[in-house]
Amino acid sequence: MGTVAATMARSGTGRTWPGARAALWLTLLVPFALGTPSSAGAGAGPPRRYSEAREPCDDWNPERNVYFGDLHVHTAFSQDASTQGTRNTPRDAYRFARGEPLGIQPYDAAGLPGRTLQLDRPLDFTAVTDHAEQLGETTICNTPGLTGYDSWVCHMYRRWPRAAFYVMNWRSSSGRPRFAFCGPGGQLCLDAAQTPWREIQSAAEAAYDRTSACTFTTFVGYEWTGARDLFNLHRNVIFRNAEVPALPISFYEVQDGPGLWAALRRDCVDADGACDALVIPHNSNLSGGLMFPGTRRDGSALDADDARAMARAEPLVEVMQHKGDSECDLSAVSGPSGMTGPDELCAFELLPYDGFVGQYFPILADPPPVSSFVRNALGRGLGLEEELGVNPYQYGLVASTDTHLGTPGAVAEDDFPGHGGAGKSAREGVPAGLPDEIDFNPGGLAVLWAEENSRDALFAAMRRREAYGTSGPRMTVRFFGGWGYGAELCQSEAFAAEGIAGGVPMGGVLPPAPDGAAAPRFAVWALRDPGRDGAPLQRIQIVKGWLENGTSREAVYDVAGGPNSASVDLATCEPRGAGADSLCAVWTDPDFDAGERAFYYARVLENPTCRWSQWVCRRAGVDCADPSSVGEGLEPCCAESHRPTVQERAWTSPVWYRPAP
Amino acid sequence: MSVRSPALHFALLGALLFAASRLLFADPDGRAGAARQLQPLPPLAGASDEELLFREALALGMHESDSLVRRRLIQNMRFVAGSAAQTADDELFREALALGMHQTDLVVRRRLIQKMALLAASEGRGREPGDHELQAFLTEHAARFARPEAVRLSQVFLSRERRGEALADDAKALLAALRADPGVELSGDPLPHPRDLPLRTREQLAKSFGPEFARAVFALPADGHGWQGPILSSYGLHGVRIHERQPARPARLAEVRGAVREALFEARAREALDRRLAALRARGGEEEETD
Repeated sequence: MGTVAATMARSGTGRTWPGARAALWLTLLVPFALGTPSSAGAGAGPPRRYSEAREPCDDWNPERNVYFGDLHVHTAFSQDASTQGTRNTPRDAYRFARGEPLGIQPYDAAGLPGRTLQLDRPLDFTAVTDHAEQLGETTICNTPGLTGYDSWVCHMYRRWPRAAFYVMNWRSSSGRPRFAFCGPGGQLCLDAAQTPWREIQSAAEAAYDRTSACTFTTFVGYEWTGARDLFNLHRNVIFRNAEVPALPISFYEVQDGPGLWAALRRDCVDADGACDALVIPHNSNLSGGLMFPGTRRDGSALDADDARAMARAEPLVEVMQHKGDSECDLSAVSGPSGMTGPDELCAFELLPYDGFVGQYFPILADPPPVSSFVRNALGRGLGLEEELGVNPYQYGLVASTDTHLGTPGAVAEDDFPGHGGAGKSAREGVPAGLPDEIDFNPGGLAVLWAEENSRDALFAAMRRREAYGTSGPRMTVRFFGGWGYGAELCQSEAFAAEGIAGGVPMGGVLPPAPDGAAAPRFAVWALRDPGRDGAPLQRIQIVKGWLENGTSREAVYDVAGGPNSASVDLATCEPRGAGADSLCAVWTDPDFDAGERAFYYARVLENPTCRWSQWVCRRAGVDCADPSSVGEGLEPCCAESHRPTVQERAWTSPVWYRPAP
Repeated sequence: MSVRSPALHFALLGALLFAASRLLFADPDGRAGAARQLQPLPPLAGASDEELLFREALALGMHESDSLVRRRLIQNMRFVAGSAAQTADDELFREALALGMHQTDLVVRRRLIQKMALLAASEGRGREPGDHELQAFLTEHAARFARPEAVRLSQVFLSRERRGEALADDAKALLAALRADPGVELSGDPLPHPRDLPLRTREQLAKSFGPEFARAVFALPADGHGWQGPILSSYGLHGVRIHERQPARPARLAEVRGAVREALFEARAREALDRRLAALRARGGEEEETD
């Protein structure tokens, strides 16, 4: 990796910074510096190096600010979006993320949209991630997420999916890498230049605020839409700056995660220039357990190099989105004394099937295996680390929407138009009744702690996993792990400074225990969403996973707040009962064993609120006691499986503990 | 037999291939295998922009040269041909075109429309703009690139939930103390946002403290340099001291060059596409008259 395009010093007013923070800066600077900081022009503030030209941000904060965004967004450039009537382009998506109103399908004959959406507050960052496989031949019917399933091929598929799968894979392999040659007369490269890839980059450039106001950041990205045996292996690729490969590396070129990582290394990370990329897998809940196999594709054992490549390429995983939650299932949590039984709070936006097929053919699908879930993968990562010395599944957590309307951040439960894609189509008209499949949801947000709102700073936050996900609301959550935090930290205005000084933030690995330290301590602080999407907080939990004699174990602790009597008036969707604006705890692991590997992450829960489907059912006047009130498309409102309320939540990236060697 | 067993899948596969071939190649007389008539394209008058682009792409033979269209059609043919999988790609591709599959396959259609639109637009991209042209574009669209108003402030926070009914009185006392000695080190209640905030726009303040707080801060008198408030946020009351206020201003080209350049290209592309569509519509009208 290479050149530094610009070195900039804070332009300023002669403001000086307390000397005590100088050391802190040094550690904060390094992550997004491509080289060593230059002292040139660094008089008034911290020198910042960027991998591309931009002004330093006015919002620089060495203790880091919180930024909310969406890293999973489809537009009309994705076939499964455009065939569903989506006309919004990447440029439109970025405008929407910045707060502008945006029309969405259905469109009338004059091309006017039938509906309009607008965020009540803009996002801080967004990556448009259209499918790299613009036509998606090989994945056409493997993933209703991908291509027009109005095509006759996909009609077939829906009727005989498993049989269709064999046919689809019974294709001649061209064997030629699409991007490595230009064909006779350069025709294929000409083709390539016409693809939307250039437009995707232009749109990102046009919307990125390179001024010192730093109001909005875009990332060039795409979705690698891989599948295996009909199970989802989809991953988003996010680039650090405007320097990106000539074309996205798609499922045509490489058919598995390791292939993707190797190709990205070759064409980007290790290539000359400033290109850098990371990969975020998503919908492990639909992977039939294949997203985190713990082995190579052929079933052979991983070695340390494999694990290193994995950990390097994939620092984050998308824990929740439109097509369900992937955190955990209802398997028993076998924890410390008094903590056995299922983690009931995992009953949140779970899909009942283990792959896309299940959406159409429940009989062909099983419930997702526990190995599909992120928490399980984090646990198996500990075991692999014990074996290989490297943890391949050292994932930080984010969430996003996976909108297929080009509407990043459209997460409001009370104003959900459906997200298209594999959900319901509104091409020919707004669907009667529920606007989307009952099992789907509006999705969540990715949240990053970074010094400023620039690509380099946000990318560095993703790399170091100082990230969390929410199921939509913008709660602020800080989480630190260390050895010496005192209980008084929650009373301190200097929570962040002391948290940083005394340990590691979310995403980090605990430093070695100092002499006399018996157990790690965790400081966690959650502040409710200040906007209209926010409900009061109910509790903070810490989820611990550890390796006990080679077996992965899990426990869940309530550390602040707790179960309460808050509820929702289902007739009005008005919340009832008290909750908290702010919750804070310094928690010591009561069951710590210094010889056992462990991870700890925080889960923050709001009081219950109406789920999107309940908003629709209520507004439609559905009364389940009166069948005549249940209009077309509203039948799910009265299904036994319908959950009228949700507890919105945030999941932080874990902090890991490694025993001294 | 389990629904996941390969035997069942192959049985289904056979049924599928049979059904697929019947469905695709059946003509109105029910003779399987007969080639379908090419569907005539809909009349041009009233054709949507997309329809115009699709026809133009076909007229330019894009469907014959586009590698992805080709791959798609060959795959479709292999899917239906099943047992005839030995047939060469070129032949399958010719057959697909003869069947008019490129006119009816939705994925091919979307691809060609998109490609045609991008081609028309990219023809308008034009030469690299110089500073003069960029500056002129920026001046013309100054509002779009304007830098928002921002303030740099310190805030001392008193929590609604900690102080309950004493909140208003506590805030009054806090502000009195701060005003009496602006340098005094008074701590408020903890909040994960810093006491001394960097420059923030109204939008950014609203994201952290709620819209009421942002509105109130930006409504504070411009010359008020002391501690002001109390100001209500989503969490309680704040004493606020404004250190610096940057008015909204037009952007300088150096700050927004990349965004202006892209916006200029976008405007050129939009114009080029409109010109192309207008030309197609005009030409289509002439052709219909000649018919």
